[in-house]
Amino acid sequence: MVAAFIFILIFGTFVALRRERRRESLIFFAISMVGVTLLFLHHATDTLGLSF
Amino acid sequence: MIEPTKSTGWQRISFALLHVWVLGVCVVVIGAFLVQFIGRELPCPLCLLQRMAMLLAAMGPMFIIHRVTSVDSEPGADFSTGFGMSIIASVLGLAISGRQTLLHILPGDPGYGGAVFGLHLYTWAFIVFIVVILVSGLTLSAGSMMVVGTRRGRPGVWSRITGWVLGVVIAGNVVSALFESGTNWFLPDNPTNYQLIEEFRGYMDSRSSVVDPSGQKAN
Repeated sequence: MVAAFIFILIFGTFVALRRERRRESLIFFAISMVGVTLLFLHHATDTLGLSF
Repeated sequence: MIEPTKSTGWQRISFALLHVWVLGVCVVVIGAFLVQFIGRELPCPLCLLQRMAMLLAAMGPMFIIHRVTSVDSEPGADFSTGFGMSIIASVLGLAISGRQTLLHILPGDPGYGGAVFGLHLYTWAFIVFIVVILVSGLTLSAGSMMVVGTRRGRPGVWSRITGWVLGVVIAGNVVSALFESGTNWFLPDNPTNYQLIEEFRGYMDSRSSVVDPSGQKAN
């Protein structure tokens, strides 16, 4: 469900772009990026217990 | 309103390149869909993350395409914002695909899923992200020569077609991810079936089974 939600956020970015709303599209883009990053950290590093 | 500027040959090439870029990303994601539905290989969580990063990387050129016809268009600023978006998304995508490539790089590891033209999808994704970063860097290096000027009126036919294709691909991913994860928050590392369909089947089975007064369960 989290993955689907992030895709919906990306779709939100796309809709904001189509409506030529510069600020909204950048906000949606930034939130999507944060979502992808957090999901990546969850899947790729959290379960491994890595230390940097 | 900013008056439309006359485009030079390089600027026309640059504008066409933005469309090719978005459509190229769509073709790659549609290819992943074909592997998913025809090859019956369900995408793993990292595969979905790479699709997300790829679609976000396509948002940069889409941003520029739609901003050129906007009444408050700022060609130079919009151009750099669009390419900046693509580079940021591609760096993230590079990290995700690089991580998955390294996960299966040891000799003897069959990798995740089948290979396409000798390379696994995550390796192709790694190459796509490198190409996006290189193209972005080269285009930005060209400076004002490649900056697309403003255009009056609605976006052109190709711009609209490109937008529709991208929209359909994103919507398809929303549906696919929903079917794959079902009501679970996260996907399993190696998904084997569409969770939503399994949950629906389970629900229908539980509804069709009737418990009689003696306590015996009968279908």
